[in-house]
Amino acid sequence: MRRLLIILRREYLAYLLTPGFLLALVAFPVITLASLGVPALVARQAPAATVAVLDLTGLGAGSPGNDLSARIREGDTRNLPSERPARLVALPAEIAGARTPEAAGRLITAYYDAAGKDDTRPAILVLAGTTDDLDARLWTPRARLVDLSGELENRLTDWLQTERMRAAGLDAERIGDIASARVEVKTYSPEASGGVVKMGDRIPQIAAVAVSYLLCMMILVGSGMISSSVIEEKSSRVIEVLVTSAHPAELLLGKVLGILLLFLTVLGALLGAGLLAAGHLPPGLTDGLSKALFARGLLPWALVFLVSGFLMYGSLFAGLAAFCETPREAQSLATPLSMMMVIPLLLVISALQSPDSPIIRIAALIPPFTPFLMLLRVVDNAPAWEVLTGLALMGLTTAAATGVGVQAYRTGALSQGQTTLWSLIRRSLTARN
Amino acid sequence: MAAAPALELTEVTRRFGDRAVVDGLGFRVERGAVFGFLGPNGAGKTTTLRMILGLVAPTSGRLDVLGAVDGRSVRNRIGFLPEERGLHPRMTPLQAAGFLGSLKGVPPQAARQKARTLLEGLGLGASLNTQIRRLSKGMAQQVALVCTLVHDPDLLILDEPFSGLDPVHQQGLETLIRERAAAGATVVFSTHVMSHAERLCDQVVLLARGRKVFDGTVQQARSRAPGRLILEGELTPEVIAALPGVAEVAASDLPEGRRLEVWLSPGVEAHQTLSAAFRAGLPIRRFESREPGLHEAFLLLTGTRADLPEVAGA
Repeated sequence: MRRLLIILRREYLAYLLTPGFLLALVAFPVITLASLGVPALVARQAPAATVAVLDLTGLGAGSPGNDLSARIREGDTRNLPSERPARLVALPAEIAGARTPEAAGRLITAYYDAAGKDDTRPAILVLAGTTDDLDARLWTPRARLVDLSGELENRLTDWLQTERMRAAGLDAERIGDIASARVEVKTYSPEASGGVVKMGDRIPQIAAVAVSYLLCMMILVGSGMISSSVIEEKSSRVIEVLVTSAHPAELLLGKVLGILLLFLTVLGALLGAGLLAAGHLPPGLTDGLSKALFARGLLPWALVFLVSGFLMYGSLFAGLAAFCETPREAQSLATPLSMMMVIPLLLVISALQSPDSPIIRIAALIPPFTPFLMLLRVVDNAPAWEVLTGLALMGLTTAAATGVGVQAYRTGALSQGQTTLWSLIRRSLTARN
Repeated sequence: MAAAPALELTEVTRRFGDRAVVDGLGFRVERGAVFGFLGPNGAGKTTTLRMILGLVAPTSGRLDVLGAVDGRSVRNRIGFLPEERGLHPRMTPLQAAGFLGSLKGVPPQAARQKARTLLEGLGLGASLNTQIRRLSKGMAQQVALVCTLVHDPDLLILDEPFSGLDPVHQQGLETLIRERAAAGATVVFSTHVMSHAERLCDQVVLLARGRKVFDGTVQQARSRAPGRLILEGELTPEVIAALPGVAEVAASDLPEGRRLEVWLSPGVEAHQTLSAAFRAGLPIRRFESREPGLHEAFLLLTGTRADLPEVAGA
């Protein structure tokens, strides 16, 4: 135990006292905030979509084209508040002569072709038909998704419903009354604070998903650090001295725990910064957040799964690295294990909607997936036996992974690069001790 | 009753697949001895050292290392210097000594203080806080050796410790080995450079193709090798070959007469053959007796035909 702590301390300090670590400490929150803010920034900076309307319905002043043009001018075409509203432009002269949607299509195609790759030309909405069978076609220079189509569809649907109600003999007041009719379904639950389920009540689930992604990131980054540490010690032959000074299990676990402690330091620093920032938030919001995060033991459970998950995967990666002579070998050997982590991440998304589905419940008991999924089950009030079984199986797997890792460490560490990777693996499996 | 040895191997064999890298090896090293473990490359020296350290299990046989079945349970009493440095390149000598010393149960502060004294004694006082990767190979080797000494091991195991060192550093290493032995530690080192073993060892074991071919003192090893005589004069090889104790004769012409190189049979003293030559009245103008060295014994005992290179300055 003493030697394990000495190894842990060395690994921890070897990274802690480097400029790279301090940069990462600053870069992590910056990147996180940037990843949250960039989509909104992109939406805000994107140029407003331009739309021209060609109305072939012949319905005069009350035509859908006129109604829609008025809506666009009012800026009533945004999907998100951060988006810029579409801008109405005059119909290009080349298209004005069209009398059918098909003819309009040919003219629009020629109009776009003439512009080459210049995609600044407006989208063109061609409307035809009657209130019984309205034909709406949105043309764009590029065959890509246009968010505008959904909003235009909503506005046209509003117009069509209004026209049909008018045709059915309803007066304008009655039509307005029907159009504004809305029912809001509120969700109630005894688990929700105040009865009604609000966003704050879903924070534990969202936090559990965030912990899963955080663990995945820790494993991917940590595996690289563990591998390079092992390979550096192999290439400099330090490992020969170390294995005569400490048990391979102490070396392996010390290395994994040292890097885990490094991550916990980063998380602790960020948590501390978060607590300081919380002092500047409105009291109601702070209370809601702290209640949500401490509800159902979320934080302690998150720590349990972060630590046990990292320990399980870290031991495997350290063992694999012990077989390798170069970082490239380690990377190729670790790739299947890294790819396997995509599965629980996909399951986590499904688990957010249905944490108690049979597939999620079974997957949460499979050790490689447990650290990613069981936290969602915990915040969903999973039975104690389920959580304990998951933890026990994960503990056994961690012990087995450590055992394999130690054997790999012992065999691989003492190899001199004269044998192949597979012969080393075979030797570790058949070694007597 | 004889004192328990520091190290004893009995019929130790280690196989990798069908190949016996070490085959039925047995020897005993007394406490406080300087023991040379000699053999050509691939003879099984490093594998034997690893079995002693407990890094590799023997396929069969028995080991006694400071009273334990291998080095693992007495690792705090053993200091091991691998053939290559074995230090974290970004650590300074004092950090490395503190780290490795603490793994061996010495408080880091005490390990650093001990390392400081030893390194200053070796003339490395100016490099105490220099990263090891910036030191020369010889300096790094000495730092590595100091790191194996900070916990005052009872058994010091050095794998090819002189490899790659210049004569000055070799001399410093020899001095350190003598000091440790004088302080009561048992020193086991492997080498294929005979001159170090000749100067340092109380006992040597010669290994060839995994088997022990000699176990004894340096003097006993030398006696296994043939002595040589150089004779000059009006001599013929046939006459010299007929003298008692002569095994082989090689002749070369000189401006006046011949120069004969005479190999004696093992165990034959040079003066016996010379006396017979003078009694026979042979016209010897000049003679020279060359005592066999450990190098010759090594070649003979290991069955090595090609001459092994002696390290310059060794």
